[in-house]
Amino acid sequence: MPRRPLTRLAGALALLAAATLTACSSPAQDADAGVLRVVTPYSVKSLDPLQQGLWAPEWGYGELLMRATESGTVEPWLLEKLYRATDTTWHLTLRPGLAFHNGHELGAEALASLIETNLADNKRARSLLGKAKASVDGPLTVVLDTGEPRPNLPNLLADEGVLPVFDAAALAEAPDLSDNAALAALGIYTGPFTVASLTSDRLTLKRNENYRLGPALLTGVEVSFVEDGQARVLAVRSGEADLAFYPPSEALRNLGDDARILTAPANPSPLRGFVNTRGVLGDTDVRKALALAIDYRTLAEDAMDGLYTPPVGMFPTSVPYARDDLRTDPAEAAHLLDTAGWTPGADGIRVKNGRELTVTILSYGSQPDTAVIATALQAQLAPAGFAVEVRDVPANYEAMADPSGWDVGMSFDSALGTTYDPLGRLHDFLHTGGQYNFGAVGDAELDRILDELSAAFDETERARLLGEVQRIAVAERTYALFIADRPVRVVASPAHAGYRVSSVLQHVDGGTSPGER
Amino acid sequence: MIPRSLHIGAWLLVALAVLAVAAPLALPDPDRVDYTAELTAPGAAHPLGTDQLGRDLAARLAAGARTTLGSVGAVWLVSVAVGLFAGTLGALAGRLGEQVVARVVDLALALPQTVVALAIAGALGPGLWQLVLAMSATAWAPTARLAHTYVHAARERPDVIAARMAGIGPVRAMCAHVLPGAAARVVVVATLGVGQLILSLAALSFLGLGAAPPTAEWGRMLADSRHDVIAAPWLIIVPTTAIFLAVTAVSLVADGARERVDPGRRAWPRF
Amino acid sequence: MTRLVLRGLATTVAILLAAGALVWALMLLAPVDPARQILLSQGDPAPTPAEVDATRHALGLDDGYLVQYGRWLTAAAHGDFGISWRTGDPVAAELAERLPPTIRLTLVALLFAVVLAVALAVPGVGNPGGGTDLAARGLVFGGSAVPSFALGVVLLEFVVVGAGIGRVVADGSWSGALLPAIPLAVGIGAEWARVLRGGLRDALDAPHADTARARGSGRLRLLLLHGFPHTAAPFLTVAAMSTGGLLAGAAVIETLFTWPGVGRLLITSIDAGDLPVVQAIVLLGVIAYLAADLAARLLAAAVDPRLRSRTR
Repeated sequence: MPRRPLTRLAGALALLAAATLTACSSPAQDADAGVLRVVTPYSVKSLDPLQQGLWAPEWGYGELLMRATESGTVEPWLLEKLYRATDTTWHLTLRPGLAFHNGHELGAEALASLIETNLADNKRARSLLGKAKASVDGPLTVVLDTGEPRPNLPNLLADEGVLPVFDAAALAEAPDLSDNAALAALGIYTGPFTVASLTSDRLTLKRNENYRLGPALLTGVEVSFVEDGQARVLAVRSGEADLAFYPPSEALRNLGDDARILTAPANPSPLRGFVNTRGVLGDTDVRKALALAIDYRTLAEDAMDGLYTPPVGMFPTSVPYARDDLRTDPAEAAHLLDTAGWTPGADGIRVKNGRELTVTILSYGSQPDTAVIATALQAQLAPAGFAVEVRDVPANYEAMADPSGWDVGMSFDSALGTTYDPLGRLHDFLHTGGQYNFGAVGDAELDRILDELSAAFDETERARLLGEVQRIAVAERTYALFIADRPVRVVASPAHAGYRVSSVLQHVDGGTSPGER
Repeated sequence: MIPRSLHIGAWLLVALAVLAVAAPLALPDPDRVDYTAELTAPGAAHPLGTDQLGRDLAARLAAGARTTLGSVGAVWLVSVAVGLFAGTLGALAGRLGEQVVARVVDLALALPQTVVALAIAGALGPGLWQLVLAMSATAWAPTARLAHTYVHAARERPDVIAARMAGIGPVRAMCAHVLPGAAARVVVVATLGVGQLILSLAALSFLGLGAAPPTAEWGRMLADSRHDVIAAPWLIIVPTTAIFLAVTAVSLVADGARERVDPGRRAWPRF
Repeated sequence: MTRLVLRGLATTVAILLAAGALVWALMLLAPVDPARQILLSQGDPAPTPAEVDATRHALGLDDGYLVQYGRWLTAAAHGDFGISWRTGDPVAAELAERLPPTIRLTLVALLFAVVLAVALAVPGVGNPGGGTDLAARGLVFGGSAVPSFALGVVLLEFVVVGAGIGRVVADGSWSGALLPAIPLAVGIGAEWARVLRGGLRDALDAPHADTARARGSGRLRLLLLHGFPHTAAPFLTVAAMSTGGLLAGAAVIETLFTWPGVGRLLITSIDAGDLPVVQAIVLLGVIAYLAADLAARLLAAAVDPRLRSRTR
């Protein structure tokens, strides 16, 4: 029986398949050396500045009136000067000779008109500056009447979502705000880069040859949207991308030498623990004992392999009013629990009136690190007498909106944001009537200080009040836990090891280097 | 050939079961975190090495065998029980009932198993019980179809007709003459699907729809391994081997059993 | 034949209607409040009860279930699956964008699977129990027992990152489909090889094959004229099921290779609790499954005359 032909046929087919595969799978093509290729999980959904304006300053195709710096302050960006005349009137003076990408002049008229458009149609601007009115006062100056005192206006103007800067007159003529190609052609933004195209997978930027500070060093930027964190890191390792933003911690532990981990110098993102005062943590002594029983150093250095740093308090050390409030002291924790009537039970877990000292900690899906940290906390808190239950929830804010079912809710929430504005978040998190006061904190003294802070313009007075807030909310009454700090990180290819990571969300600017090749 | 595959498969299954049940006696706590022993290679202290948190991989593998095989076993039980019940009910319940059951089975067979399981697991949220429910939603259909066809055909069989003519009631005739054969086939068909079940279950928990984090589960262990394929290859090799062995064992048993129950036909389509 | 087609179509439509009801009922299963979920996914982290009520009313979610189902079904019949809760875009448009890459991946995977199935099933069939046969059977067993995602992880690490072949961030093109198709094809190919081998052995053991062999038919001729047609029916059934499953999205592999297809969209939508998209994809999966099944039955009937007179 002739057996060979068939065996050969099968072999040939297999060979053919293998050959097609190698022939067609082109290796990652070498991109233009001047183009920076970036992968990030967050997709720019449209170029409509009123809906998605926040991405423009991040990727360098737009600028803001003010900007945050790495040293913890805000400074004028498109503005030359920001001057406060009374508690509610501010003078905004633009730099001379500004222009949008389309060549239209950015003067006082254009500024007033974009402020009006934002106040009318931008949800965030309306909620923060709803009572404001803008009027033109000279060729480069606009007077903004905020209606009520806004000591944090400089910070608000540096916020990427509050007052995006765009050519409102050109936008008004756009027939369809969801047509990305048409919007890109309008050239409504400012900045070192212009939008060449936007699809659901990728944003492509070209250098703006007429940029006021001279053409950027990069000839273009390609921002690809990739949700999977591991895939982003692999893309850098395989040479498909130069930079991977928001790398997952677990992908960093054993990164080989085909990629580098770059870290921002300041303003790490803090992992906060919302405290539910309705349950067992309603007792101040128990809350304080909990904060004292956490070993912040071990948590950051062992559990998170040094990818985190131990926090010092509510604020990062870069701001002048930061207080050093956190420490680890198991003996004092034990003493506090004894005083509160929680006595050690048979298995080491403390008991009061026949009830065990059980604390439910929420970790959440979009931040897998929280599950690791919760597991570590479980191990750390057991010797202090806390029985920790870990609950992994899909969405933390949603779970914490439920009055029961949790005691500590973890969340990456900065008290400062990226504009160093302590006002909004403090009020949201700790005021009795705060929007995100999930744990039902109700402290009259704290409320009074927060209200005073909202109307305080004087720097020293503000610093004093912020110190008071920290003393009450962290040191004395522990209304919030600060568990660990995660520095802002980017994974870069070796050629881009010199990339400067921004901790204030300005990833690309005119000075961003094309890297060494 | 027949007894051999059945034997090998059965012994493999027994070995896995022993591993799952007896491991806690010999191995450390699968959830015990030890930062001093992160990603230790297999050796004397940890026979299969440790994972990213320094947890003993052998212990986690055994714990994972309990969760993985336990939930697959639950789905298997559901598909046997529901399948047999629906199949016999359909064949006994008269013309209308039969039509209804047949159509419901048709419907369940027409649903793509993985996609439906994904959707249900997604709607219910992560968790082991939710996963079992999601997988069971369609797993019973092939067994029901088979039981239905078998029982339906059996009504015309000489021995059954003889029993009925001897005055034995339909239920007793069914129990004595038809059910044993139907049950054997249903068990075999259900078992034939178990390999696929193990793989789907691992896939679902790979996607994060399985048990919540600290719980050891093979698919989840694989998902965690992908960050350290080069630095700690045992992390991917160990659970993959476990899944491979479990699927192979079940397939061998199922194939052997099929040959016993219905010798000669090789190309049983798997539903 | 026409009757068969009509009958098949009628069953398909009936099943589709019932499946539609089940798919819609997924919404009742979800423990989340849809109105709240919409607000959350639109970036409002803590919606007030008043906002939730307003959204619920605006979307008609406070109507009776029957009314809602009727509305959903009518719209779905027109190809309108509503608006994605996650993105605010029409679901149909999102699906239309994701479907071509999934079809590409499916076709490439099917091609690989056919090659694999033939390569594994045919060589050993002439000499059952021989070395080639045993090796092929071993490979079949192995292929169907390896989790596809483990294979995918290894391919990504060693082939894409290590050897620089293919891409991590897939673009959905034909050439990009070659690599992710491999882990998909292994399991399916092994499954097909099993069916093919069984069918071929049945066919070649049959008396008519002996007759043909006695008349001096060659091995190739025997296979082509007697083996493959005989195996067509069971093979097509299995093939249809794999195809239907793949078209509904190979969720794990698409996620692993960041393939811009339906399967990855399904996972993203499940994670975000974006029920309209999940419903549409499940319905799409049912349609793909039924269509593949119908096509397989008609093809089998065309190849195998015995099936034409038989009714189900």
